[in-house]
Amino acid sequence: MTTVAPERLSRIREIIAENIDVDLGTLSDTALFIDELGADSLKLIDVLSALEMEYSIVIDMNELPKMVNVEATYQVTAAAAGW
Amino acid sequence: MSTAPARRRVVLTGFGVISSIGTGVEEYTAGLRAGRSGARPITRFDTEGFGQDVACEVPDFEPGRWIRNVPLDDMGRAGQYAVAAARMAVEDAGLTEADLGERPAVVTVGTTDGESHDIALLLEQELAAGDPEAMDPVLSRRINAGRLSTVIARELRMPNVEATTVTTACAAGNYSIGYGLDAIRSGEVDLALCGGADAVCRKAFALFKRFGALTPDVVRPFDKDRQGILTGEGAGILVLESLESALARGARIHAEVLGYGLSCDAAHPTAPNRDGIARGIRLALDDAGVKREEIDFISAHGTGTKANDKTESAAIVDVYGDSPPRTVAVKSMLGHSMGAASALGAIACGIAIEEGFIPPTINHRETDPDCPLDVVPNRAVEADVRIAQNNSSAFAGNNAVLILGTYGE
Amino acid sequence: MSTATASPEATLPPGTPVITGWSAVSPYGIGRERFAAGVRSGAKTAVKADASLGSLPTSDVCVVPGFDIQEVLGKRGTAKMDRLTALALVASDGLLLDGDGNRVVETDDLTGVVLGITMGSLENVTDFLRQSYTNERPFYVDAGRIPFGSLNHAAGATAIRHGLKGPNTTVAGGRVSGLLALNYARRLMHQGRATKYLVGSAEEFSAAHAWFEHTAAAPGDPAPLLGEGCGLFLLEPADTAERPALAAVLSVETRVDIDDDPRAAVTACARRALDRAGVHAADLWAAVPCAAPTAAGHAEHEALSALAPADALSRVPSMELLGDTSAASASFQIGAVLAVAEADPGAAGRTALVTAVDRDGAVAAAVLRLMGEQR
Repeated sequence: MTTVAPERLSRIREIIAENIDVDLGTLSDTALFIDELGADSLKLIDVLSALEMEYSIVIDMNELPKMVNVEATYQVTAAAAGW
Repeated sequence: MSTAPARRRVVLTGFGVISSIGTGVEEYTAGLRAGRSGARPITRFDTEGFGQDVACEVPDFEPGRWIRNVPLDDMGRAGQYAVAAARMAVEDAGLTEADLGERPAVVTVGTTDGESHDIALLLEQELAAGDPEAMDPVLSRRINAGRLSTVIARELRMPNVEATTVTTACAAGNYSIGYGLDAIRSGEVDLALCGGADAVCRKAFALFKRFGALTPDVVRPFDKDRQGILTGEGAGILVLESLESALARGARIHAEVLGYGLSCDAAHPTAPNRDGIARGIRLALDDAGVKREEIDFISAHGTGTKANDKTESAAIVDVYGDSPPRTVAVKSMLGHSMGAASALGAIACGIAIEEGFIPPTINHRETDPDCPLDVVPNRAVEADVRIAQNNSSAFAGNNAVLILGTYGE
Repeated sequence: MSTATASPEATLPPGTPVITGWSAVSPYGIGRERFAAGVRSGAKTAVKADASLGSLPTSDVCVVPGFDIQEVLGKRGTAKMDRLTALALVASDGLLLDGDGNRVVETDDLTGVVLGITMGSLENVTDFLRQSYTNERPFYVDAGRIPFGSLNHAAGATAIRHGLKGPNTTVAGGRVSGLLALNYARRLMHQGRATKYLVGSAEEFSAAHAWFEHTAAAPGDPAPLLGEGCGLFLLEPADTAERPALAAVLSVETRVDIDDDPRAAVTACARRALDRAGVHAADLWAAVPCAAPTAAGHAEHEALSALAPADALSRVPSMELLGDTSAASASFQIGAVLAVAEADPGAAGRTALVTAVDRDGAVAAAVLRLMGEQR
C-alpha cells in the first residue's frame, strides 16, 4: 500500500465525484461506489478512463473490480502510476 | 397467444456473404463447418498506441468483382460490402436484373457504424491541414447511413423500392430481416433484400477498447476465461420472397422465415438485460408459432464479453429451463461484425438447416458454470436442424430474435 | 370529399393509421404551440450562430432557441448527453405529458417507438475520434460520452425515460427518414406488433454536421442554411384510437432515384402515393415539399408544381424558413400541415401531400387526410 499524497487524493476524489455523479462534499473515502452510492460498472469505467488520462497511465481493466471506493481507487491508481 | 390465420409464408431464396471467414455461401459454409477463425492483424487503420492490433477483417475484397453500375467512389467500404452481398444474394436466388427492374420491393440494410471509417478519414484530413476546408467532398457525400440501402437499389437498378437503413446497432440485421418479413406478410411486396453491413474502423475499436471489452487474445464465448470481443466486419444479405413467388419461378428455397420478436429493455443504455432478451425470445417463438421444444439450436448473440454471455445464458435458461437447445456463438469465428452480425448469424442458421450441421463455438476450453449450455465446442456437429433461433442484442436496449425453419416436408 | 354527416374515421379503409397527437422541438421553439404559431406566421428562423458553436462554414443557423440541455432536462444524466437525444426526449415529453408533467397518453408493452435519423450525433462521433487522434494514447477518449453516440441511443433513451418496452427502432434516411419511420410504424402496427406508436425523426445542429454538409454541397450551391429539431407523432389504428384523430395517413410511398432524375422520381412517387390513397392531385388542399437547398430540392418543387394546384403549394409556408433540417424535415412537414389545418376550418376532410428527397437518392411521399379535430 502506497502512502496517500493529499493533493493527489483530492484530485482523484474530484474525478470520482464527477464521474459517478455524486456530490464531492458528501463523498467519503470508504463508501462503496456500487453498493452504497448507486454507481454501475459503466460509471467505474468512466472513472478508470478519466484517471488514465489525468495521469497519462494505463490501468488494466482487470483492476476495475478492485476500485470499490475512493481509497481503493487511490491504491489502484498509485500502482499503475508507480507512485 | 396469437393464432396465425392463413398468413403469407416467407422463404429465403438467396444468400450473399462477405465475411472474414469466407466470401459467398460456399466459402462461408466451409468456414463454418471447419470452425475457421477470421482473426488477423488489422490493416484498415494505424493501431499504434492501442496495445493490441487484431480484428476480423475481410481479406482480399474485390469490389469491382460484384459492383458494376454504381461508381465505387459513391460508397464507403460498408456500402461496398452491402452492395456486393446484395449482388451475390440475387445471383444465388437466380434473379436477373430483368426479374428485378420495377418490381416493388423492400431493401433494408442494418448497420452499427455505417461509414465511420470515412468519417475518420475526413477528420484526419481536417487535422492534417488544420482546416476543415481540406476535407474531401467525395467522402463527405457518402457518410450518411441511408446510403447503404439506396446504393443497393441503384446497383441492382430497382427504383420501385423502399430503401430503409436500420440503425439498431448490433441487432440491426435481425431487425432488417424482420422488417422484410412484415412487409411481405402484409402483401404489399413479394420481395425483400435484407441484412446488415459494417466495416472495421478505428471508432469501433477504440470504443470497445475503452470499455475494456476487447479481448487481448481470442474470442471465447461462454468460456470461463472469456475476455471480450474482437471487432469484425462484413455483410450478409438475404433474399426474402413470398412462398408463392418462389414456387412460381421454381426457386431453390434455403429455409423459411418463421417469425421474429422485438423487445426493448428500457433500462440501461449499454448493459444487456436478461428480462429483455427473454421477452424477445418469447415474442419470436410466439410470432413463429413454434414451441420451445422445436428449437434445434440457438445462434446466440454470444459476443464473448463477461456481461453478455452470462446475461444471455440466463435469459435462455429462463425461457427454456434446464435443458436448453444447443447454443453456439458464431462470433467466436467472425468476431463481432456489428450490424452484419445477426445477418451473418441468420445465414449461418439457414445453412445449418439446409446442410444439416451446427457450427461450433471455437476457442472453447472450459464452459463458464454461469453459462450452462452445450455450446458445441470447437467442432461442428452433424445434426438434423429443422428450426433455429438467431439472437441479437444491442446498446440502447434493442433486442431482436429471429426464427428460421426448414421449408417443406 | 367526405359528406358533412359521415364521421371522417368511418370512411377510412380498415387498418388506416391515424395521428392522434404530435409534438415538436424546432427553430420556432420548444413545443407544438410554438411550432404551429411559428409556421403560421411564416417567420424566418435564421439567427447568427452563437460563438459557443465554434467555427462554422456560415454564420447563419436555425437552432432551437435557448435549448440548453441541462436547463431543459435538469442535471441528472445530462452532463454528457448529445443534443439529438435531448431534442428527442423533450419532444417525447411534449407528446406524452401535459404541461404539469402528468402522463396523459397511456402506453404499454405494445407501444412502439421508431425514430428517423441521418447519422445521429456527428458531434459525438467526431469529438470521440478527435480525442483518439490527438490525445496521448488512442484510447484516451471520454468513456462517459460513448453510449450517447450509438445511432439508436435517442430512441432507446426515450424508452428508458417513459418505460416503453415495445418494439424500438431507429431508421436512417436523412430527409425522408420521417416518412420511412412512418411506414415502419404503419407496417408493424398492421402486423400486430404494436397497438400504438411514437413515430418521428430528429436532427441536431452541430459544427461537425455543418462542415460535412458544407463540404458535400455541390460546387456552385450556396452554403446550406441548416436547421435542427424533432417532430414526433402518436400513431394509432383508426378503429382502436384512444384520442380523436387529427389526420389519417392514407398512404406512404418511397422510391429510389436510380437515374439522377429527381423530378421524375418525385413525380412517380407522389403519383403512386395519391393513387394508393385514392386521392386526385387536383383535390389536394396542401402540397408540401421538403424544400432542400439543392438541385434535387428544386426538382422536387418543380415536380409538385406540375402536379398540385397552386393554392395547395402555397398553403403551408416553405420549409426553408426552418433551414435544412435533414432528418427532421418530413416530420416538420407533417407538423406544419397539422398546424395550418388546425387554424383553418376549411381543412377538415381535405387532403395533404408531403414529399421529401434525400442526397442518398431516396424519395418519399405521404398523403394525409385532415380529420378536422382541434387539439
